[in-house]
Amino acid sequence: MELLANLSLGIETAFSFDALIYCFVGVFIGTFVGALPGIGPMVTISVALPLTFGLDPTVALIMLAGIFYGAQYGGSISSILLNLPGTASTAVTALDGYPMTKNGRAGLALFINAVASFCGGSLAVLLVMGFAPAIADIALGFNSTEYFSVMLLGLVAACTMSNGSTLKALVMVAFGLVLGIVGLDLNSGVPRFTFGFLGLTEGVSLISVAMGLFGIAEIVTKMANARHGDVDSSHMIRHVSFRDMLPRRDEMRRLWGPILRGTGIGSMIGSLPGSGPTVAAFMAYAIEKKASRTPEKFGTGAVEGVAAPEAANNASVQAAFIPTLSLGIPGDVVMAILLGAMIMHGIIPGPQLISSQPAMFWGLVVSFWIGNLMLLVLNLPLIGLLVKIITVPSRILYPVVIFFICIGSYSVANNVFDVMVTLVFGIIGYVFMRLRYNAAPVLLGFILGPMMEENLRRTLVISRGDLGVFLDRPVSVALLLLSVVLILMPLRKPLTAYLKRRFAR
Amino acid sequence: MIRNRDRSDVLFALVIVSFGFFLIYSGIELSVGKMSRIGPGFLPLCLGVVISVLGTGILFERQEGREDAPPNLRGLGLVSLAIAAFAALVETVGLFSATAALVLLTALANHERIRPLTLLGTIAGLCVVGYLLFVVALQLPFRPISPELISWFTGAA
Repeated sequence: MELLANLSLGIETAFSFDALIYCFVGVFIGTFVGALPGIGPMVTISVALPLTFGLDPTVALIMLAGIFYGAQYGGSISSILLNLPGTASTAVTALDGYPMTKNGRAGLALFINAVASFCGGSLAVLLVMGFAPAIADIALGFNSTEYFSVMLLGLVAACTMSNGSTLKALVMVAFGLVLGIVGLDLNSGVPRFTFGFLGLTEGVSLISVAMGLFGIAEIVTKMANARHGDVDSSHMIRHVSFRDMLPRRDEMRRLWGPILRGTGIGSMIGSLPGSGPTVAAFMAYAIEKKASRTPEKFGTGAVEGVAAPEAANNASVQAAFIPTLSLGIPGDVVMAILLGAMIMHGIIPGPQLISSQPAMFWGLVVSFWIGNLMLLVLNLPLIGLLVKIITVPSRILYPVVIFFICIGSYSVANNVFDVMVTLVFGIIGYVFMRLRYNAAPVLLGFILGPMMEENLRRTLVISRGDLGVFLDRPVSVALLLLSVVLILMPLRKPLTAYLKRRFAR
Repeated sequence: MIRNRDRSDVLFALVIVSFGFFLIYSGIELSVGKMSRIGPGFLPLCLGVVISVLGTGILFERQEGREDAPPNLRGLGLVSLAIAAFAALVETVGLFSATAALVLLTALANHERIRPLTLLGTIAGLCVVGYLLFVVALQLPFRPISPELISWFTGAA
């Protein structure tokens, strides 16, 4: 019964006029930027965030979240039609989606994409509704000790599960934590790492960090290889009739398995910190190929190869809200920005969020459904327009993006200084990118840093400086142990190799 | 023998280690406090230790291969210039000229050539969008063209 009451509260919130309009705006913008290679949801949300300052926080979050999951739909459209993944998470879709286009079955691929995305997304929302409040209930019993350990685990997990060197990822998280320190220390009133700049006393702006590290760095990298992919196919897809879209009966039957498996994989991976929709889509594809009786068809336009990764990346995007809304721990970069958005709107993320802001949580969750439904309907008629926009040449696109990045970072505090900070992070981000440091963990550390320091301080005050308190409480011990295991895991291989060599001698 | 591309990795690992030492130093400067009452320098100190250890680890880690496209220094420089120009101009000379400078420099940074007419069109379009969205709708304190600039022009004419 409580669930019904909550749901009706959510429906009331999400069906308000403002919420519906901004949900639509969010998914609409999301579809477009998702389809455009070069600007992802992250940069768009950063640009849009200052624009939402005047809105009700719930409505603002509904819109920003809409951009995020809308981008997954849009990204797959350019993957399927042009073999140009608009966002990284839809790159896998191109493996079978683009061959389908070449076989003249673009309509079907788009239909499968829309349906699989919708199923994945809306089923995962159910999980958010079930799990987030339950996890938050448990976490409400946490004190600062456990909360610190949870955050530490979140950061470590994000590092070890992302691909590439764990050491580098850990350095990036630590760098993010340092960035979180910048500014006036609230406890002692001492400015830290401001280097005498007045503009840094309130800390580095999240938007500057995000747009510099990801937006500018990405564009400079892309400029060097500025060649648009396979634009030739755009003529094949001008006319996609509704009849082309419907699958044959045998194809219909082959779709349910991949969609459900993809949803399962996506939800699981999405709810873990550190592994977002890209990993989910790749895994779903790989598993589907293994499970298939006709693996040789994959890569030549298998319907399963579109359905599974699409269900997975959309499910993962929705499931990522579970740790974000129940614990205040962002699972990936976009979630970190959404958490930052909450903080800027004066809402404190954490386990108390759902009980203290029920209208926001349930409204947001219901809006996910509305948004997914809108995307399902919106997706197909928009394709012609999308194709036109995707083929906007980069020589026009890049200046436009840089313009929005500049204005976006200015508008956070109406301050030119922040624009320069963005530039500095752009340069840093480019260096990171060149040297293969994944900058995503920086943002996680940046968001969690201040909260971790506060919880550490509180813990140590209560325990009178005894670090042993972290080992006294069973939940905290378990969390810390898990972190240690995660850190040591990548060392396992070289270690066993070393020991073998040792004992062989 | 250290190959060229390994050298930048090694160099950057050294940068990380020294950044860690810098944090340790400034943590101590900021006062670490007691364990029961940690000071503002406590976390920087801890992070400094962590970062310098991790940096040392990276120094000895085998680097994965990476494509050897040369760094896009020209692009980076011109985009930086574009943003810096925007920052310098937007409050002093006005939004329109800042936009023009930004678009021009970014277009120069791009490897794809742009026709002058397309360039002008992009500038004009962004000026209109910027004005409507940010000045009219969101009331950011931009002046499209600064009064000083207008009076300088009319004075000169």
